[in-house]
Amino acid sequence: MTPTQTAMQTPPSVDEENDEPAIAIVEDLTIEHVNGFRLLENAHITLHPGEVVILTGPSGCGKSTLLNLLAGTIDPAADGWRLSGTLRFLGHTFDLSSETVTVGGMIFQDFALFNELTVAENLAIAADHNDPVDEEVAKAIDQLLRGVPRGALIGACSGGQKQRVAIARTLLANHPVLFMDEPNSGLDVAASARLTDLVRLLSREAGITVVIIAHHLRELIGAADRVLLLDPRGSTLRTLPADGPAVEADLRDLDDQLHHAGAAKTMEESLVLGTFGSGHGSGFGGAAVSASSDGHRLVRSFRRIVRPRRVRSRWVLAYLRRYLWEHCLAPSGLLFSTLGVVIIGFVTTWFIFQYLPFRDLLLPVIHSDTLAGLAFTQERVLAPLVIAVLLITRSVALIGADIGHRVHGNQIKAMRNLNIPYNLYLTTNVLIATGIAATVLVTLAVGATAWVSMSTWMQIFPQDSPHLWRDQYFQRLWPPDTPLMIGMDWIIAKAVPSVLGATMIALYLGYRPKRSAADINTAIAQSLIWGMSFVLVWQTALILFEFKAVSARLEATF
Amino acid sequence: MQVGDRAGGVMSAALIGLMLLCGVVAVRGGPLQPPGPVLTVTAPTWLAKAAGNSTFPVFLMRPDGSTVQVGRAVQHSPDALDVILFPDLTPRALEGTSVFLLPTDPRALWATVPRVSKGEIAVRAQTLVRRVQAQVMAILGHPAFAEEYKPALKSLVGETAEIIRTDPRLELIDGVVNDLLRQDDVDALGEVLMPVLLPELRRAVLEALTPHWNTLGSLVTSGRIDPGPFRDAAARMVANPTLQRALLDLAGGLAGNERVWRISALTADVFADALTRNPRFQPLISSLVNDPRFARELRRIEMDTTAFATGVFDLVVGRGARTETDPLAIQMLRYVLINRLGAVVVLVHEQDLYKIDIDRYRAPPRQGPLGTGRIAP
Repeated sequence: MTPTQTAMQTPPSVDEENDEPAIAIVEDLTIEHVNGFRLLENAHITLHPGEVVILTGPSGCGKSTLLNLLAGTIDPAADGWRLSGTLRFLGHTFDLSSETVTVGGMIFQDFALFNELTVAENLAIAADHNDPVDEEVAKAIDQLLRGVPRGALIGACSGGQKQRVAIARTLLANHPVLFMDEPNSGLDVAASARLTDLVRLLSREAGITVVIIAHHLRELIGAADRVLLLDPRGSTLRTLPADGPAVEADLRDLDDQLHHAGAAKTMEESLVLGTFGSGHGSGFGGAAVSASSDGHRLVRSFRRIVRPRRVRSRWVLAYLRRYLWEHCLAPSGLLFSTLGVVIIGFVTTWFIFQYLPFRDLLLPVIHSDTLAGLAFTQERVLAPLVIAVLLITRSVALIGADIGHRVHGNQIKAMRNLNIPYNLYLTTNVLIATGIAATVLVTLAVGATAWVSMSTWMQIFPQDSPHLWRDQYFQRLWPPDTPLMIGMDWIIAKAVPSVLGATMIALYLGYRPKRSAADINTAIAQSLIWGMSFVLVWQTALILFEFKAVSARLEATF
Repeated sequence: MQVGDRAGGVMSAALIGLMLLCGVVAVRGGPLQPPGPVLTVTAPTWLAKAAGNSTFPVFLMRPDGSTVQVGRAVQHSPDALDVILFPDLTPRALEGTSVFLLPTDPRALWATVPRVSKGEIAVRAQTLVRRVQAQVMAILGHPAFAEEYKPALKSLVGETAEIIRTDPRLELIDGVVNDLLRQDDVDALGEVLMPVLLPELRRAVLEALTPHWNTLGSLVTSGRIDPGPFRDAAARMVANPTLQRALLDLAGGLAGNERVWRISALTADVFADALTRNPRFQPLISSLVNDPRFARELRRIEMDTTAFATGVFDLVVGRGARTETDPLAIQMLRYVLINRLGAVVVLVHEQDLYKIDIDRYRAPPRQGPLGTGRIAP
């Protein structure tokens, strides 16, 4: 095999030794953060077909960020990065100061597989949103997945199997370059050897360019054509020969120099902003971060150059089905709502009729109006409020956990990288599902609350007809010949927007960057507090308007 | 994509089905619940004034006079009213009943009071009058009253009478009273009263003019006639059940007549206006009611009137053997108190019709699309 030459050097590029046409050429790449940290300065990177490049450097120097920016998995503006330079890629030239381009497929250190899908579905979702792969790549994928159970859920797979599925899934996205973020981290010697064979297979037989971030070079160096060292001292990329001991010696020297110079700060330590590295910005489009009071440091928004968006109804419906189940149809949620209904219907009816002051004297006089008032309170006020609160309690926790986990586990980045419209599949579907849940559960609750109230009333007044209860309970709320209960519009206006608002809050907090599991828990707690507060404020405000609007009508029908 | 499991799906379906069924049972009475019987009656013109409502409760009168709500009437058109009865009502319970449509005014409320209760109210009223009269007489006969209050009150009433004589509202009152007294009810009273009054009067005159040894002296010496026979005749007339019923009928008719209420209020208003405008009135009355010498009598009057008012309320709104508060009476009284015109439909068995006076409110049956005005088993 011809060793291709990859030139990634600041300056000059050593690319001139390679005769093959480059897949991607990055010129004068400068990456800096709004707080002044400079990751690269005037770097040139050229990638050729089928070559294997190892990217190394001290811990925390920004290797993952560099690959994520090239893979288009993070929004530079949202994370506070400013770029300059040009990219020549697939026959086009892009201005990196204003455009982000997905140069390659990214294989994350934790694989970022979609846990709710089986192995086959993880592969299918990638294939469905990208062009079909070449025959060589398809063969490589088949070879890669030999022995991996296709029908198994991701959680049932071993670490090695997950890695192979992640690689296969990324290959199915049909990118000419594969970025691998520390793929041999935590692997034993045998597994690392198998990984090296795998990389060889991909590059030599499928002709895929592989860029690997690695700290442990010994096993992988055998498959590499070139090593790039990210040197934080001068924000440069140095090309080194694929000689393991020599590279390791260089790394040790660099580490020592940084340590003795007292400059052994990681990039993350250098950043003031907490959004670096793990986040992808807002889930609603990635607004630019204006992080500095210094006007000229403001980050411009980036135009995202993406492949044609492919929306597959199969996946829209699959995710909608999943979220509908979780938020609306799961038995735990329905039981939750049922308990709320029982409490509303029983407590209000029982205590009003049993503990009425001067009961014997007043009850015959006010019975009919009490039932009518009880109906209004239960159906128009309590049912939508309690059901929205219960629904949101459950749903925002689920959303916070689901989206938070996807952010923390790089699944959102993976979806971006795989050209999967996550805003539609996840965000929109969650909103639709909670909107439907609010409508369905409140409607069910309205009927069931009435039944619980009726049953309680019949316990108190066993000699009376349930038809008498029905007539007096619904006398103003649902008179004869009225097709729908009066005020259903108010009920829906209170329940659905309040639930949707709380869901948006949970989505926003869920999509915020997550550095640890603790961040997910914090997002869940914040979602509960802010989501619940929104529901209460919205419904209280509407109840006030509703009372004002209906009081005149109720007066007239007294 | 893994979405729940079969057991969870079954449980969810069961819970949703259960909640749906509960809702249907609560709202409709059950998915297979047949609709209740419906009959259509002619809607009177006054029903259009029952603003804000096109549905009215329907009550069934039980043999003991108490009522129970058995449905709801819905006005679909200006001239027709559909009486929709609860589905659990047995045909036997409705057998031989007629439909009555009553406005929620004082007259209709009085009409729904059973005759037995009205008789009881009359008896209690007589008792109250007697008792109050006794206490008032005790006050009037008290030396303190004669000395301190009588001259002042006499002067006050005289001045008031002079003032109201010139009040233009008096002419209106006179006209209405004359009009009312020309009513058939009064004529009917006269027809009953005369056969009772004339023999008793004749007998009393004869007795009074027939000399008796112990009254002869006074007749001869002072020319005074013994009033005893007239007193006895009056007592006999009051005790006469025919006359009592006639008076009750008249009182009931007048009590149910809106003009009577209005004219009474106007008369009282005219008199009270004139009286209270007099600066001596307030201090005089205040002094009288707070005078410790009349405290016992005033206290008794207060207790008697309170007991009477409570009793009358119980009889007007109470029905049945235990005089329980009746939903029909409460429904009507509620509307009377808030001064809003509504309506109620009452179904009464023919054999119970004599117990109340609501015949004038009979709602003519009407051949409608849903049924007839006469309920048949």
